[in-house]
Amino acid sequence: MRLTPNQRYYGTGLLILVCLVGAVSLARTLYWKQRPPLLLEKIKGPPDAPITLLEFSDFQCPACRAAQKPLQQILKNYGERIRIVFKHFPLERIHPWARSAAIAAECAHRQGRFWGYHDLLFENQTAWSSSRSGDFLSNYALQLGMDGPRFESCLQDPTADRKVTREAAEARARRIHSTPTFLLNGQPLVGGRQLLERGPQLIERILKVRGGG
Amino acid sequence: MARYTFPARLLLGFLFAASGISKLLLPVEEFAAVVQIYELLPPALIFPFAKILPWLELLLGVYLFLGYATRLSSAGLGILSASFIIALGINLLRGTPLGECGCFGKALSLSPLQALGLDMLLLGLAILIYKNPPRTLSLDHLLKRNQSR
Repeated sequence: MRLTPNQRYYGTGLLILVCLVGAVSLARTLYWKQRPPLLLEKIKGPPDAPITLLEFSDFQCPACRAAQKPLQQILKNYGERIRIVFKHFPLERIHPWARSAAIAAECAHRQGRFWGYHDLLFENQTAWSSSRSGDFLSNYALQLGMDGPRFESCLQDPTADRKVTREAAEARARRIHSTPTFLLNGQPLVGGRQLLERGPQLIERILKVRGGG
Repeated sequence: MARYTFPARLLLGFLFAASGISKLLLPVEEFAAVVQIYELLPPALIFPFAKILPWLELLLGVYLFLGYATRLSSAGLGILSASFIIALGINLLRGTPLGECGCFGKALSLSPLQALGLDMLLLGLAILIYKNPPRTLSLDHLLKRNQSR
């Protein structure tokens, strides 16, 4: 079969397009393949809830603080049908206190006070973000009635730091680059706005499929 | 002129293809979040736009790099560059805290002003290529040469 010049010309364009689609699909498969399993530790809500909302967050990130409002709204609306799992993803390059705050929150978790500490950090973010000393970390711990010496010793414990590093690696392995990023039963939502605009719609769909709506 | 337009064609094509692929390798929600910050599109169009734009950048970038449909590709990339200049300009005037432009996914971080400068340069290159399409090492040249045989 002989092709006309026009067929040859447009066929070449189509062939390039098909090659690109194939190459991108292959690259995505290879790029997204390796995912270490997620540790689910800092959980709020019933363990058997049909909806799991993973939050990859940074305590010093203003967008993460802003996302707390829609997050609380979703928790309120879906009550026992949803659980939230917090994952550290400190963006140290732009937020100098982010890692220290994450380690401190991890120490609060060891004393069973993670969510209280989480709320305090976000509520007072503007105040401590420009702080020169890290005293605020211990002050908040004492405010929540934690064991001070135990908390102080945990801040120096490399395992707390390693936990933060591991959770940040879990985020990167899932091609997460921004905070806050939420995974709603695995479906990514980037930022509070997507959580607010697309979250309820997705939750309703999942509940409908599971017959729990 | 081909001395300038040939490297310009490679550069413009490569930059757009790289920009497209860097976005396509991330979940679409990442780029959609960037588009949302610009506040120029109605909510219903944000996700379709975030899905289509990286493919357009990649396809037109590769076409231009290979010298296929050179004038059409350079015109398309010129329109994209002009639209980015408008989007960045509007948000700079509004004082939107963009942080970074989001132009290259997470592969390259540019401030809005740096991105504006780069987009102006790319628009200039697109116009140059459109006016003087280089035929050196191009599919256009190869396919047309075969046509004349």
